[in-house]
Amino acid sequence: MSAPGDPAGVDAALRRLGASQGRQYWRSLEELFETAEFRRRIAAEFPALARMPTDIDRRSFFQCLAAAVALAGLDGCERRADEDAYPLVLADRDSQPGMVRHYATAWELDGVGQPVVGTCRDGRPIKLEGNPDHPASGGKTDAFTQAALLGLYDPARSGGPLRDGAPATWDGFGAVALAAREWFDASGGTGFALLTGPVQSPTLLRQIAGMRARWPGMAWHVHAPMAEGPAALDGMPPLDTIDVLVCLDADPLGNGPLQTWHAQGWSARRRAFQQGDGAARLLVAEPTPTLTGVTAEARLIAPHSRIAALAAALGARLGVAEGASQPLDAKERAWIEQATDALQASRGRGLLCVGPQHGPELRMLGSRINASLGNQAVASRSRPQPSGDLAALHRAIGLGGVHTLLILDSNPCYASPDAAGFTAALKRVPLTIHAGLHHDETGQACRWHLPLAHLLESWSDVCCADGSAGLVQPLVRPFLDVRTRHQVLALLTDGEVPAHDLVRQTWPGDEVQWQSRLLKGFVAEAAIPPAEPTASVAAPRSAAPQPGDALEIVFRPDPTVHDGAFASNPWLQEMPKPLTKLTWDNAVHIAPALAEELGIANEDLVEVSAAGRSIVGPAWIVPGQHARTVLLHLGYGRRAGGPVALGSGFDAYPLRSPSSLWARGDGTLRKLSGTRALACTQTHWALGGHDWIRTVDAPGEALPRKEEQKSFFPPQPREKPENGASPPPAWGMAIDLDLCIGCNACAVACVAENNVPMVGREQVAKGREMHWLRIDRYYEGTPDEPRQSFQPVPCMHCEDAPCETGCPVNATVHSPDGLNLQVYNRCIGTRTCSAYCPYKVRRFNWLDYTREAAPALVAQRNPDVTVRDRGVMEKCTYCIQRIAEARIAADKEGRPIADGEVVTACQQACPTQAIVFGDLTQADSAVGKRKASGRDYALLEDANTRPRTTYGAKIEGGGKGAG
Amino acid sequence: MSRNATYRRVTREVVTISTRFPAPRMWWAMFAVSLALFGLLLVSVVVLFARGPGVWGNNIPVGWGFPICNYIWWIGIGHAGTLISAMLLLLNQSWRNSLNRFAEAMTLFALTCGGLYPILHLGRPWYFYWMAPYPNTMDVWPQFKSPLTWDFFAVLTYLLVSLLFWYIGIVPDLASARDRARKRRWQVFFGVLALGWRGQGRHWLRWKQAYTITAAIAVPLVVSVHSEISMLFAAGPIPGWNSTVFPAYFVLGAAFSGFAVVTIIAVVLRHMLKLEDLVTERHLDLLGRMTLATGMMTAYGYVMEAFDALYAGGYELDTLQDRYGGYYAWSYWGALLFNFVPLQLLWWRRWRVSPIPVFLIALSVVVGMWMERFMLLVTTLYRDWLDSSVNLYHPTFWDWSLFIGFIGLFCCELLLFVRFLPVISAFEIKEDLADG
Amino acid sequence: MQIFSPSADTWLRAGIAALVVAVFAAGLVAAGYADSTYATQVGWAKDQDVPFSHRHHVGELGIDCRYCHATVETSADAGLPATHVCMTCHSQLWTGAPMLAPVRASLAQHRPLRWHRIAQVPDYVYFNHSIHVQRGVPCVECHGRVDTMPLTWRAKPFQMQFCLDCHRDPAKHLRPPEQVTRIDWASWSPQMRQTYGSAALRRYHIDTGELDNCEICHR
Repeated sequence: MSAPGDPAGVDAALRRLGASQGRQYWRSLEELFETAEFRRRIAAEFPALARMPTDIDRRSFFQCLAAAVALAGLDGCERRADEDAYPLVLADRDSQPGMVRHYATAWELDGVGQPVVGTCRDGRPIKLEGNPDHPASGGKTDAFTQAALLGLYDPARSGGPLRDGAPATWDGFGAVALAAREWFDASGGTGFALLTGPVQSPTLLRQIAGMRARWPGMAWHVHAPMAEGPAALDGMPPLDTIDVLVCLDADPLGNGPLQTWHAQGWSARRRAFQQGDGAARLLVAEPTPTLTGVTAEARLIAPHSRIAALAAALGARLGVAEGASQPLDAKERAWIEQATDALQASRGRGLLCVGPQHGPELRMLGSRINASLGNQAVASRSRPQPSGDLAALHRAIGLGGVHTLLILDSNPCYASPDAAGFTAALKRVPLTIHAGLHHDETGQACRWHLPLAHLLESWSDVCCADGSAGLVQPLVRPFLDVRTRHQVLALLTDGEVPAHDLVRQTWPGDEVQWQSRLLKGFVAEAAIPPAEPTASVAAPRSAAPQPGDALEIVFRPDPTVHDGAFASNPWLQEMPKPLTKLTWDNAVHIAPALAEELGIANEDLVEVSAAGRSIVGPAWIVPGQHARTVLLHLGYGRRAGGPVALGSGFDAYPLRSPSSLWARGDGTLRKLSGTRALACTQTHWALGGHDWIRTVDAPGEALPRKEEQKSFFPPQPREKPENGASPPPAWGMAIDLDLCIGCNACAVACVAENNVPMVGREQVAKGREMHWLRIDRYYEGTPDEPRQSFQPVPCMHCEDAPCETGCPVNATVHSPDGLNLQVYNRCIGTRTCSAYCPYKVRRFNWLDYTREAAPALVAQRNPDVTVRDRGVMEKCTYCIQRIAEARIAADKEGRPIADGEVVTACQQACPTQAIVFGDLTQADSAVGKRKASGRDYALLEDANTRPRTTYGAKIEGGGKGAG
Repeated sequence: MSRNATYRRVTREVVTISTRFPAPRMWWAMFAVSLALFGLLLVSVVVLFARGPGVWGNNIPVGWGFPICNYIWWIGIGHAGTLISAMLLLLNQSWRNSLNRFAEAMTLFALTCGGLYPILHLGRPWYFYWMAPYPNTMDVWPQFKSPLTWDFFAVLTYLLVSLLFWYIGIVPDLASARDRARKRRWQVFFGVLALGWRGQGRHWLRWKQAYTITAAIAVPLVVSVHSEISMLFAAGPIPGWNSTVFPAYFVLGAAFSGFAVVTIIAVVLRHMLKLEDLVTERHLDLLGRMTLATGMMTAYGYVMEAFDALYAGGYELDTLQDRYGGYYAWSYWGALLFNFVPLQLLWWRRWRVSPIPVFLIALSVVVGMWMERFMLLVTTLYRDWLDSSVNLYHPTFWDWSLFIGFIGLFCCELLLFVRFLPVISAFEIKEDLADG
Repeated sequence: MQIFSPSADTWLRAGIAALVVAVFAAGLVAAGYADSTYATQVGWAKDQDVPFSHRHHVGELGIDCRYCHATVETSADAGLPATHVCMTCHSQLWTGAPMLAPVRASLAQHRPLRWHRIAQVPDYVYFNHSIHVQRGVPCVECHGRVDTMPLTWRAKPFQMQFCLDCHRDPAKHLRPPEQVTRIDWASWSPQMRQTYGSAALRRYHIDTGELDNCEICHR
């Protein structure tokens, strides 16, 4: 070592300094992650996610959190609470503290796999992102997938087997299963019925096939309440190849299991169209607004009962003879002409898409029309045929033919038209077993309740939207006494089997192949081929047009809680529904005309009845809905399934007619006295001539430029710092309104990433929701046929930010890279920043929203984001924690931050890539290109705040014919 | 009667009030009520600190509700005191002598109420001192661009100066109170407060200097403080706030409401303490004129505001229309009605000098000015730029309880002052008599 | 009749003076407390279940920091050693020592050791060890001469101003990265360190004007 004062030492050091790349001392996490050897270890590493470390992490996490709360806004003159640390007992290089790991896995909605990459921090899954390698995801997700993570931590999940509602053990059930097995083997399974949800998981199908082969007498029933719904459009050709999409009461872009898949395709086509390549036309005929409908260039408001006539008319005009078509009114005719012209103009690149709820006949007609135009066919995927549906099972029970019933991950006692009847029927079955996440309505009606493992903590496999199979590997060792769905079946057939083995058996090939598949998260070669639709599925018929003043009742899955499966998920319960901005409740949606006719105002209680059955709920007036149509969202009014699920909304299932699940024409509506207050996050929505939403007529066209206004603020620093450093990045965001379909994926992703607290119905009703990213919804034109637009509004990060002038304590300041910072621990809560904010994007912790959270929910929180305390202002930070991570990584490697290295949570989730984020100083950056476009504009230019977040104007229409 | 006799009567009337209080029953009744309301204040504050500002009706966008609205209202009321005593002192308006003492006291008490509100309204009130510049372990200073920081200094200064001014003024009377007190405890009480005043020429000399200088300091504050408070609104980019008329508008409104409150107190004390021949019709007359004058100037502010909006158009105009016809239009028309309609009676001396009507008019002005503050704050915030962020504001029970509680506190302070300290500057009146 | 004694006036003045003094004194006391070692916990050794001595392991045996705090170069957290790291040596040395009983128990029962944290910043402060070490900020700057600590204590007051002092003028604190963990390193004169530090700042393009921005530490 150099002697004291030896200048040679310094020179040597300086030389080394000149040469040092930083890398020679260690390798970056990314580099580490890339090596195959490392990946293999990860795959083999699951035992390291043992319960013990997990618990430790969680415990220490509580302590950190407690400290964070206790010390929030600590001033120098307080003594800090002591804090303990619990290092691992056996550590390897992968379980280093603070280390982030990513695992490719998947979860399932309505039997459709959603491929994701789970981010685990210290053994806890804290975020889900789409699997970028997977064709069905492309790294994108929908709102349900983002919220699925919270489902894993749901405190209401059942944690152990129950027998007649009393705690039991798996061994106890094992004995029962053993007895049953011997009996079935003897009797050939007669009298044994298996009821599942929609099944596409290869392993599950393999197991069921095995059971049916072994016990020919058994019956397998499938209950799929959401199948054949308007969004259940599997087997459709990818939309990125479709220049002209004509939807007859079909909602491919709507919230549902296939949204990510369709939205991606549509957006790819739309973006190509923006670049002047081809067309991206969308024409929709529908009774009530859907995300697809409001996005369409031509939207015809037609009742459910007219869809058949419209299809016939289309067929007639396109030479697919379909008998005598009914007479059309002017609007209908105009739309039909527009649609047929468009379809004919782009033969082979168009698609007519009929809502599955209209039954096979209409879908056949649709395919014939497509065939006649040389378009790709819309085919539903071939599935193994079950013995029957729920109704069949109900009948079988009635005949006393069922003595053992296993209900696997399905909730027929709530989500079925005759739930009450079925619940009663269950009493007549000697042995009823329910396996599910929650001790829900069905669980309570059954003898045995077995807690299932959440897919994110399971070994399993799924079938994704594109037909490819996805592998499911656990992100964390289950922390409850649960079994995977495969294990439950195996208990019946073989007894206790490790979940991993059950899935492994399904997939031949050696260990290396298996590991590589696990890393990718899917099995590309195993794609399930599409087939022509088969009429054998219980075929719902369109409701016959009713004479007189009867109303048409249309049923839809709820855009936030879906069929009720997410009723105990606060992230979704509090997520404003895209079109109504209602939270925590469903409502009876009626058209403005009908409301006027019956003198009904929002929130008035009304009674909807049909065929002797009726439900009562608050009315909500929905512009753009057909005057004689009443829309009911399913999934609310849960009678069990956790505190969050209870007490919100009303149950619309009883009104469904088993013969026609999605619409009925014999409805009547009566106004009752009294109201029910609904929590709506946007009460005013008229654009009223303001230019908040701007439009252009053609892709190339530019908006009129407003001249730069004077400002007293100094310009943002863009010049090179004197010490030769590269200029700091100038972060900015561009949101293309032409691509936004208002699906909420970004908003939920933001909640998941930034520990945004949920505050409950009362607080939302007071106007205190905490979402950092809200999606504004505006109407133009008449209430009967308005044009609707969505506008996601995060913090604008104004260069001349009024909020910064207001704060007396420097708690909101500007950073050199252009971020408008909010320093929680300095904030004293004067709320001046919010008062001065023209966009009102700031959120305030009016009460203590974080300290009382259940331990399980605390474990989900992102440790890189401060948990805010009472009395503190908060807002969108452009995901500053991700920026900091990238900055440090780049600094360590001595390079600037590359474009696309920082991806905000909203951007990462957005299935249509409407949101782009990046460095404005790099002209060739993605965001730079967006801002250079003539469609780019700033919200509230008059406020002269020079926002860093800007918008892309909508483009009218979708190009003329095929390009 | 002889001049000395008059002196003695003045002294007796004023100074012996505290020791032999003329209307104890009435006083106790009023004090009991005020005390009860003060109790309500304490409860509200406990609840507020226990649960957070969420107990109020505030939301986004109306992040400021009652607290800031009432804060401005209180500070405004305070202004008249200083105006009357300091400004009129410098202008040698001797008629002020019968009013200045309790006017100053009123200022002081209004400030204690107004000054507490901004602290209570904080999300984390226990850190309010972060607004003060002091060397700290965080190496962070207040943000001097912020109107709230100016607020902090303005209100603090105003509080100190008013306190000084009021106390200096009262010293000689405390001395004479001391000398006339019979009971030992009163002698000590007044004695300590009188700081050993013996009325020597030197004392009077020093006193005159101190009093005049403090007055000179106080006068600019009358203008500056509420101008600054108006910046709280005017510095923001919100349509309906971002207007240059605000400082003048606020100061005049402040004086207006202040004179109203002084009138109310004058009438009550006059009746309660039988001070008819010290607070004479002449005083009521002059008070009425001041109220009328400042009131009409405030009205001009309304006109200018409307003109600005019409001239600017756009969002400013939207806000104006919203004030006229929006959800909170009642606060706008209410402000106009209560502020300016009864006020017109004051053009006639007959109305100005008759206690009951003057009292009622002043009362309506106080209500009207509160509505104005509410209108300026809420109608502007609940709907500013984007319609998507519109949200209604509904004050809750705890909003009201805090508001009423503060009125209770104000009355408590005032009644205690009336009970125990010379409410009217006896020696200045004597000076007055001597001169004229 | 005289109410007050002749000295009353003096007493009054004295009282008022005392009041003024008291107010200032109160301020001084508060400030003093804020910087007191009681508030900052500087120099307060904490009892640990295992009385681990840095003086012995670092000072006398010369074990490098990174042997136990293995992730200091790669991760935000330096990390406390897992039990089996202790046992790499102590399965051979002092195998029966009573003071190591908890360590053996931890390994045997697979229950983690508990350590009372010494160097601890609030949870809204996001300190990243790896970048500091990589830039040549030596351990000793924040953790002090642990090689002289029989039981470990906090060496520096982890107040905001402590962080800011260095962030505003880092040059004189920097070292060649390979010297970062040398607790007792004193080979260079202040001038040499200054020279090196300024060179390092240039090399890493560090704009000291931006190092004290809120978002550097708070998110």
